[in-house]
Amino acid sequence: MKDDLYLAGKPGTDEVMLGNHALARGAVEAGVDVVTAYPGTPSSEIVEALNEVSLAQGFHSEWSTNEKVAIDVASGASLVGARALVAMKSAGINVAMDTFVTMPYGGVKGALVIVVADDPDAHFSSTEHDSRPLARQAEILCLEPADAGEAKEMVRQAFDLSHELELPVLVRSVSRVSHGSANVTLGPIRRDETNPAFNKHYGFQYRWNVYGPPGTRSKHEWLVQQFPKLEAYAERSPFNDLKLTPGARIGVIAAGLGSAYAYEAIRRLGLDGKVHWLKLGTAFPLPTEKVSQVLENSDKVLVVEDGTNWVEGLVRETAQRIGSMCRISGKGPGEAGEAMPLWGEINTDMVVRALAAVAAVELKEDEARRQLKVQLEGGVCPRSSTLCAGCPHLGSYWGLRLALQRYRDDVHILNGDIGCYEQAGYGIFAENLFSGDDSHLWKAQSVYEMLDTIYVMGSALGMAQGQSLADYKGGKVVAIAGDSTFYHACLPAVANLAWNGGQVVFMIVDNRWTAMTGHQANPSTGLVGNGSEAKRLDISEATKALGVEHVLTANAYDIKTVKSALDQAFKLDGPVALVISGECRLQMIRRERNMARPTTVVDPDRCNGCGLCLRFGCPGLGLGPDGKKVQIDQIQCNSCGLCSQVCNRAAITVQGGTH
Amino acid sequence: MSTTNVIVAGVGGQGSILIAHILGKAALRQAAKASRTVQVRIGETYGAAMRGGKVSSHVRFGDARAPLTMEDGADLVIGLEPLETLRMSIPYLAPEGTCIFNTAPYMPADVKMGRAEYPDIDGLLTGLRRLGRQVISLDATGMAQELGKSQVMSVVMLGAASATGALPLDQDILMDTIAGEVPKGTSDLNLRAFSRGRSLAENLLGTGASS
Repeated sequence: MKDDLYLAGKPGTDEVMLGNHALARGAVEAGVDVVTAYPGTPSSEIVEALNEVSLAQGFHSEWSTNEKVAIDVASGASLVGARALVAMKSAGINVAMDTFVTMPYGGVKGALVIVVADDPDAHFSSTEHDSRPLARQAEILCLEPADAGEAKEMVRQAFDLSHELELPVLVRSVSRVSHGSANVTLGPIRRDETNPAFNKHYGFQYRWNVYGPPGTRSKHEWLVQQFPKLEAYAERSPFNDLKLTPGARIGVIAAGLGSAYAYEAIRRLGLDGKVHWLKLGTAFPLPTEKVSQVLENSDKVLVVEDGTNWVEGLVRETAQRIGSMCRISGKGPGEAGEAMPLWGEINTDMVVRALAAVAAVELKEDEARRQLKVQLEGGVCPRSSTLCAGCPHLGSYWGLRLALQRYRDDVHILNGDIGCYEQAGYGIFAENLFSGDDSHLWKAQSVYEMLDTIYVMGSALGMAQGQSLADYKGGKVVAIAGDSTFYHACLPAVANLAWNGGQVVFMIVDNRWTAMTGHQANPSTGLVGNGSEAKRLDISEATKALGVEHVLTANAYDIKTVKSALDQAFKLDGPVALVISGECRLQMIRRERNMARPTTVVDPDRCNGCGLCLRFGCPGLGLGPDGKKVQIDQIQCNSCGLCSQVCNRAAITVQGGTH
Repeated sequence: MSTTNVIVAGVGGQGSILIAHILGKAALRQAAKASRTVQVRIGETYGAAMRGGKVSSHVRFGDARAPLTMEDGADLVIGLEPLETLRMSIPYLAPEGTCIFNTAPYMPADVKMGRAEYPDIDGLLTGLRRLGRQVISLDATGMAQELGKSQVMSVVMLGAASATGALPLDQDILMDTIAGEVPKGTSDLNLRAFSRGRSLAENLLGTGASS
C-alpha cells in the first residue's frame, strides 16, 4: 500500500488505491496550494500522504493544532485565491463548526474543499455523528462518494465547483470508503501557479467581513440567493445516476457507500432491471427532479444510506412537495426499518433484507447452519486492545494507582481524554461487570479500568473543574490528557482552571507524538507535518504561562517519580498541573534501531504468580505454559524496564544493553 | 461477471493488508492482460496504531461494488492466525469455500493475562471443516522462520492459497505483483516463500492429507 499517490503514474491508467489516498490524489490533481488537518481516524491518511509529497509538489501541507485552526488557515488561504483543502474526522467538524457555518456568508475566492470522514458504527470514534446535515446548516454543497474511485474524482471536481460557486464544498467520506480500496483512474495533474492577491471588495462590498456594510443579514441573503446554483448543479452532477425501468413500481434511491451495497443487493435478489434506480453522489442538495421521477413512477421506494436517515428525510420532503403518495422506507419507521436500524453501519446483507421486505421477496434461512455458527461462536475468545508493550502511559497509570491507594476509602473521579491513554477506561480486563446502585465502590483492579469519564478532545479538564466547583469532596478529582490533546483543546481549559479555580490535578502524559492516529507530529514533537524540524513547545512552560501556580514534572519510565509527584500534588491547595514525560516507545525504537536492547527476564524462583504485574497490563507479560508463573514475551517486549519496577519480589530484572 | 471474495484474517503486523493489496493489484493486472475491466474492492478493518489488534481484509474482484463480503460469501479465507481465522470464518466462509489455515497462534492479551482461554486448535479445525468445503492447515510461521524471516509467513500463506483453485489468478501474475509490492531487497526471499507455500499445498492436496 504505497502512499506516493502514484504521482509518476500515467494518466488514464487504473490503480487500486486506499480511499484516503484517492481523496488526497484528487487534491493533487486539482492543483491544491494549501492543505491543513488535525489527524483523526479514519481520516488521517489523507493529509499524511499530502504532507509526504508536499515539498516535491510545491504546496504547503500541515498538521494544524486542531480542526478549528485548520479550517481557519485553509479559509484564509482561499481568500487570497489559493486552492485549499482541510480534512478531519467526524468529531473534528464539530470543533471547526463556528468557521464552517460562517465562511459561506462571504464565500471563497480560490477554492475551499472540506473533507470529513464519518465513522458509522463508531469503529474509532466517540459518536456515530453524520456530517451531511451540516451542509444544510451551512447552506453549501455536500458530495458523498461510493468508493475510492469516486472519492478521487469528487475531490478533484470539488475544487472547480468551489471556485465556480464561490462557496466551500463539503466532501463526506465514511470509514469503509476512507479505509477501503478500489479502482482509481489516474488523471492529469493541474500545474497552474496561483498568484495570491487580495481585494477587500471582491464581487461585493466588504466581502470578507461578515459585519461589513451592508451587514451580516445581507450576506446571508447573498448566500440564500446562491442556492439555486447548487440545485442546478445537483441536477446535472455526473455523480447522480438515474435509471428508470418501464413498468417497474419499486424504486431504490441510494446515496454514497449505500449505493455500493444497494447495487449488489439488487443483483442478489434478481431485481436488476426490475426496479427504478437513483444513485446519489450529492447528499445536499438532492437532484429534486430526479427524485421526483422515481417517486412518480413508484408505489414504494427504498432509501439506502450509511449514517442517519438524512437522505430519506430529504426524499420525504420532496414527496410532500410534489404530493406523492409513494410509500418511502429506509432507516426510519417503515417496512425496511427493522432491517436497517438508525444505529451502526449497514452492509449488503442488511440491504438485501430491507429490499426483500419492500419488494415482498421471501428469503431462505438455513437453520442448521445458523445453529452451527452459534455453537462455534462459543469457542471464540476476545482479543482486546491494550496499550503497547513498553508504553509510557503504563508507568503513568501505575504511579497514579499507587498514589491513590493512600486514599483507598474515597471515591476518586478520573476524567480521561482522547488518545492512546483512553484505553485505561475500556474496562476490558474487568473481572466482573459491575451493576447496581453502589457502583461507586468499584475498585480498579488493572490499568484498563481506571478512567471514569471519557467524552471528546479536551473535555477531561473542564469536566474535572466542574466536579470540583460543584463542591465534590468524596475523593480526588483528576483529569488526564496527552500532549497532542493538550495543544488541541486543553489550552482554554487550563486558562479557565487557573482563572476560576478548582481543586483539580491535571496530568499531562506527554509522549511527544499524536500516537493513536499513527504517530503524527504535534507541537511537542520538534517536527512539523512534512518532517522538517521545528520549534518544540514545552508543556510545563505553557501551563505556567497560563497561570497555573503548581506545575510539577515526572518521568513516565520511573514510576517512583510519578508516585511522589502525585503524593505532593494531592496535598497542594488549588489547581496542579503534572507533566509526565516519556516518549512513545514504538517511536523511540524506530528511531534508534541499532540500539543494544536490554533483555527483560523473570526469575522463576522469585515469581510466586501473584499476578500484580499482569494487572499492570503490559502485553509483553503473560502467564507461562504452567499457567502459574509469569514470563516475558520476548518478541513483544520493548525493554522499557517498567515491569521490573512493578514487581514486589524483585523477580523481574532487566539485563544488558542500554535503556 | 461473477465476483471472487477473499478474506485475509490476522493480527496487526502479520501482513494481512499487504496480502490484500497484492491480491487486488494482481486482479487488476490479470484483467488488463486479457483486455477486460475488473472492479476491485478491498475493505479493511483496522483502527488505532496500537499493536496486536485484529486486522482483517475483504478482497473482492469481478463485479464488486461493496467493500464487504456478504455472510457465507467468502470463496477463500486466508487465515494468518487460528483464532482470527475462526472469528472471520464463522460469518463469512461459504459452504463451498476454502480455508487456508496457519496453525501458529498469536496469543491475545486476554489469554496471556489469564482472563480468557484460547480455543483448542484441533477443535477449531473441526469447526472450520463443518463450515466450509476444504480446509488446508499448515505451519506457515515455522516455514517462514526456516526461510530466515518470520515476516514472510503471509506470503507462504498466499502461495498455499494459489494452489487451491479458489483463486482465479495466474501464478506468474501473482509473483510479479509480490515482487513489486514487498519491501526493496526482499523480493527473492518472498518469492521463495510463495513457492514453498504453493508446493506444500500442492503436496497436501495431491496426497489427500487435507479434507
